[in-house]
Amino acid sequence: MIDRGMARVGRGGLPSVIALAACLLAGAAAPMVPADPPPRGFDLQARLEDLDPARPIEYLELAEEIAEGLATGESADRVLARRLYGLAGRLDPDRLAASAALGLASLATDARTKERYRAAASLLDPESVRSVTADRPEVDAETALEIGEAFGDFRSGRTIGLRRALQDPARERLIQGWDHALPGGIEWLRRQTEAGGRQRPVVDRTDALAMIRVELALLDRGRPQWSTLLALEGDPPIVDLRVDRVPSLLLDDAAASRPRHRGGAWVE
Amino acid sequence: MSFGSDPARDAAVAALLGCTRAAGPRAILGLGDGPIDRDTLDAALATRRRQVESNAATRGLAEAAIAELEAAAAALRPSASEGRSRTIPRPPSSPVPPVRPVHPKVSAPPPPGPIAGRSRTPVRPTPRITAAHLTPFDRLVLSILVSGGGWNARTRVLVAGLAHQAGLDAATLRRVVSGLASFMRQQGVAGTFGEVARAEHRPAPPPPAPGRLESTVLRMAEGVGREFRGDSRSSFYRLVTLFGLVAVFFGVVLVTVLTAPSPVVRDTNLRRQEAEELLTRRLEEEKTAAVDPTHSVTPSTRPGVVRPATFERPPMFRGDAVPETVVFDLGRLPAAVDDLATLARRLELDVDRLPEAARVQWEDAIGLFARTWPRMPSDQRSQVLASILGVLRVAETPEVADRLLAALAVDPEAPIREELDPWRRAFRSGVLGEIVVEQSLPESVREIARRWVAERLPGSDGRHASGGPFAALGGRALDLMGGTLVEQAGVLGIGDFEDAWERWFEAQAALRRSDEVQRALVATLGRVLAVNRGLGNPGPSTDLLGRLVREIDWTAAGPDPESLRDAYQAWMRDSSIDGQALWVLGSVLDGPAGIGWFRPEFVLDPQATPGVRLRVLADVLDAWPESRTPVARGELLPVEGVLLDQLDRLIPEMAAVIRDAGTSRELLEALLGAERLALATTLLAADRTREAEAVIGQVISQVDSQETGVDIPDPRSPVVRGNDGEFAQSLKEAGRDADARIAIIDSLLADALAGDLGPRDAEALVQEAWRGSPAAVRDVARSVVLDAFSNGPNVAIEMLNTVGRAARSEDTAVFIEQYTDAILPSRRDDDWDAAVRRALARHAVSLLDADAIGIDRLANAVGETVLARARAREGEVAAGTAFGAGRPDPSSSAAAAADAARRVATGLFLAPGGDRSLEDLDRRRLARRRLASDPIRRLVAEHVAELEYLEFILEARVPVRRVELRSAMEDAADDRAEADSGLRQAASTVLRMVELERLRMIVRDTDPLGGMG
Repeated sequence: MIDRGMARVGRGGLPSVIALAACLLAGAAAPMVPADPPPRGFDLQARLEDLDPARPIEYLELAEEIAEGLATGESADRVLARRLYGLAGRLDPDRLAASAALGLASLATDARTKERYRAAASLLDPESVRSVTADRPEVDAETALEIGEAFGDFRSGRTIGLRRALQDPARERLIQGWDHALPGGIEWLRRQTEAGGRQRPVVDRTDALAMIRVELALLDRGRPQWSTLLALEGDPPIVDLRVDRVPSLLLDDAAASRPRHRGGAWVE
Repeated sequence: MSFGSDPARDAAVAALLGCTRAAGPRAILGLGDGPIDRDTLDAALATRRRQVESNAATRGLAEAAIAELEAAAAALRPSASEGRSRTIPRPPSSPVPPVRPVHPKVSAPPPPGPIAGRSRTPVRPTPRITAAHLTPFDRLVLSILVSGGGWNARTRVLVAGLAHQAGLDAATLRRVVSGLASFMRQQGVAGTFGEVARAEHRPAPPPPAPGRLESTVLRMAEGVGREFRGDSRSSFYRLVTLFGLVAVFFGVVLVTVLTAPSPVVRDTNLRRQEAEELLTRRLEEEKTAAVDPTHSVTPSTRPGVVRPATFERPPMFRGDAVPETVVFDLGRLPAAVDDLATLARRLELDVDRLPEAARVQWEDAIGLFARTWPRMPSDQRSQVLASILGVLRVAETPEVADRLLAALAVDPEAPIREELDPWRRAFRSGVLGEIVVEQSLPESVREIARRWVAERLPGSDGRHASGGPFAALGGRALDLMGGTLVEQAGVLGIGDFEDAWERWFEAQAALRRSDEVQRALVATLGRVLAVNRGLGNPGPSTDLLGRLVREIDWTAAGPDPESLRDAYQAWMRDSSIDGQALWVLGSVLDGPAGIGWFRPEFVLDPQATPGVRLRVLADVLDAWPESRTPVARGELLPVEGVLLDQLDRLIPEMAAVIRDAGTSRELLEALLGAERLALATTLLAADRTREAEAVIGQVISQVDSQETGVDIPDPRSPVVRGNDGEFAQSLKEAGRDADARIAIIDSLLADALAGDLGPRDAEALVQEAWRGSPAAVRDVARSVVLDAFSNGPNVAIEMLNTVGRAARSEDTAVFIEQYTDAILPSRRDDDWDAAVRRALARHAVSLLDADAIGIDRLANAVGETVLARARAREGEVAAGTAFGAGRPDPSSSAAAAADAARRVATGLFLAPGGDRSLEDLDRRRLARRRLASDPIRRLVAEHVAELEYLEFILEARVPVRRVELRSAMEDAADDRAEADSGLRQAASTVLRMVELERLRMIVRDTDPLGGMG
């Protein structure tokens, strides 16, 4: 549309300019829709029609193909991929349920849902998942001490240690893991360190306490005191799944009873 | 007055003497108008002479004045009377104190007497006190003062008493004492003591005459005193005898108190005594009663009551103890297990061949195990089974399998030949059961075992039975042997018969739970009744019946009373069971060794018709005591009623506390309460009632007062010293002057209220504490930090921020340890720097966050409580567990508790009809662990695992509670799904453990006779 508008402008005239402006405005006013997914290398409808409950692996493979390269955010493809994973897990629970759960976890749009699916995968096949929860990178004692000293120096107005730490990818990643707990987040720390000078940054007691807690979490290396733990991580409940409810988690019973795709709809 | 031709000198002399010549010699010498003696005259002369010598301005003036004095003395000497001849000691040439006028006054004439008598030689008052002035009273007072150490409270009382006796008032006494003090100063020690020696002895006042009672008491006291002093040998012996009798008396009292039975025991003994007397009376009556010669077979029937079968002695037997060879053989077990391991390794190398020597070795080992297994501890039994299966595992060829299994061939129903046959056959049958279900064994082995089991031990393979395949098939073999042994009554030698049965009873007890044993005994009793081999006549059958009746628990609290009642019904209704057998049974039940509730009219007439049987049966069932426990009691836990009531109250209250908890600290407190309650129920299960009671008391206190009992210091808000920066500026201005710096730092202590410094001052002080120079400045700074600012948050933050500047020295380490109350590792330790930083950071957090200490201490208390529960539960299994030293982390403690529960579950077997296995629970536990990324959620995961193991255990032990147990587990899962926090999940899970344990608790029956009364 813009190309056409530009062509008119090229032939000149106020109407062309107006048309161009209208195109631009129309383009600006158009609702934001996800861009069309890149063209697939296969015929989706044909693949869906070919699905057979006697061959559950095909459901899983098609789901993986659709999920590959999916844009963020909800989309029809994402919904379809979820259904296909769920059907695979329900049709062959012994062999495919854990993989289906992991596939569904990859499609989850929030951490909690992701954790539930990974928990389901772990329940079905403990070897399939090393750890369900999002792990922080492990920290060695020397690095923990170095970062702690950098924080202390920062509070005293010596920012060079922290600046160097943030310039190191591994250390930056470590500090990034505590972004939610640091006053102003890692970006504020970065700005303060880059500001230079020997002026002591303004860190009140609350901020100092938050930073000190992060130091303790690093120094305790996975065995923090509970006061530190509760302050930094909160007290989220464990995701506890029951084995008998995992199938319905993968796909509800109603959808699971319609594994065939005919004429654009799912049927029994 | 004129002393010479020189008027000026005369005037000076007059002034020195205090008077002129015209005043007269008495005035010149300072004497009054009364009569004087020579001593007085000489004393006055000496006194005046000293005065002149000390006061005269010139020597010549003094000589002139002395000349006048001597002239005056000479003038008076002729008229002076003779005094006592004594030498007046010349006073030392010490400075004469100024003359003080003395004006003694006496308010009343003193009474005559040695104390306050008149002075024999009245003395004219003079400016000085001399010895001549002292009266006997004075000397007495003086002696009191000297001996009493001067004027003090004691001498004051004594002197006041004397003064009162002498009629002197306080003012007079004061003057006397003052004068004496002056005298003492003047005369010195020698003079004072000299006068004290002249004090007249004052006789002691006579004691008042004692009254009659008083005199008697005094005499007695005197006599007792003499005795206790042991003045004489006889009094000594009397004392020894007296104390010996006292010791014996108290010893008798102590022994009596310690050995006296408690009221409950006394009551029980009394009742037992009465029962025994009743029994004896009944026996006597039976002995003396007329004997119907035909009653042993066909009793005389009286209306309503059938005469029971009587025997010379109650039907009963006991076999001999286990042969000593069994004890000896037990010691050979470890070697036999090792031999089988070696055999297995050899077979692996040559699977096609079983040498004869190996076969013999194998058979010997099987034989050894078979004749000792009931006496093995449980872990050794597991090792034995494992060693057997280890050998069979490599028997891949049918020939080898066949030869090995030949040692396990068993025919449970074959006649018993030897007393240990019940053990041998039960063992072999049990091993066959294990072989059938063990999937790791070669099919060649399992197929043979499967065939034998099907032929000789038909029934389920026991994989889901309580006790597993070994218990199931071993018990089945015993049941079959029981039938065989019943048939062998009178066939087998009596000794062998009784010993074989004894072994049979022992094998049953080793293999089965109490309710299963009961069922086996009841079934055997039914067999005895059915076979009826000479019942009613004295003999092995009747003795066996008597023994079985005694072994079976007929009370309402016995295991599986419903099954017993059903069996009795079946016997009474079974027409194939002869009436005579039932008559003997009834007679034994009613007999001296029978059960209390079975009445004489329940003894069945051997000739009774079916209708009569049913009528008697109905009467028996009416009297049958109600079962106190549900069907298939399993292992219910009797607990004192008071404790059960407390539990029933605390469970819902604790649930409310968990539900209402809001903050993290409240949730931790709720969790601690739940953990304590779970500890209490675990202690009750371990029969540690008193400890459980104490823990329940803690929970009650917590619920009622909201106080956990955990020591949590109150939050502190130290005052920040004002004028931040002033101290820092002063320090800066002091420059390098160490003394000034020290003074400035010290001045911080002046403000006693300040507990913290502002940021700038904190920075300055901490800088000195770390790097102050010289060392004295640093030491002072550190002292001030410790003494005044150890709880100051700003100082703490600064300490942490700048600790890197501190020297890595012993002093610094000590300072940090004192400041933080933490224990640091050695300075050579690689972790030292991190440990220092950690300690300072924790200290800072504790000051910045008022809740931090409380939360950490509550978490520690939770960890300790969970660990205590793990240890209590560990007491249920033989194997011990080494728990780590140091403060337990809650999640680690929870893992230990779950492990302990799992070990208990491993010792059990699947409950009948169970649809889960331990492997399933382990898999779920592993999955939950992966869900837990932090200690709190790990705690939840382990608690859920422990809950599931506990439910598994309880289903096996109390199968009748299965429905309630499953329902509680469903509720627990719902709780976890709905919980909004990990701590709440943990607390609710722990509370469900308490509910599960509660399900198997019943009120303890306090009647010592149980249901037999």
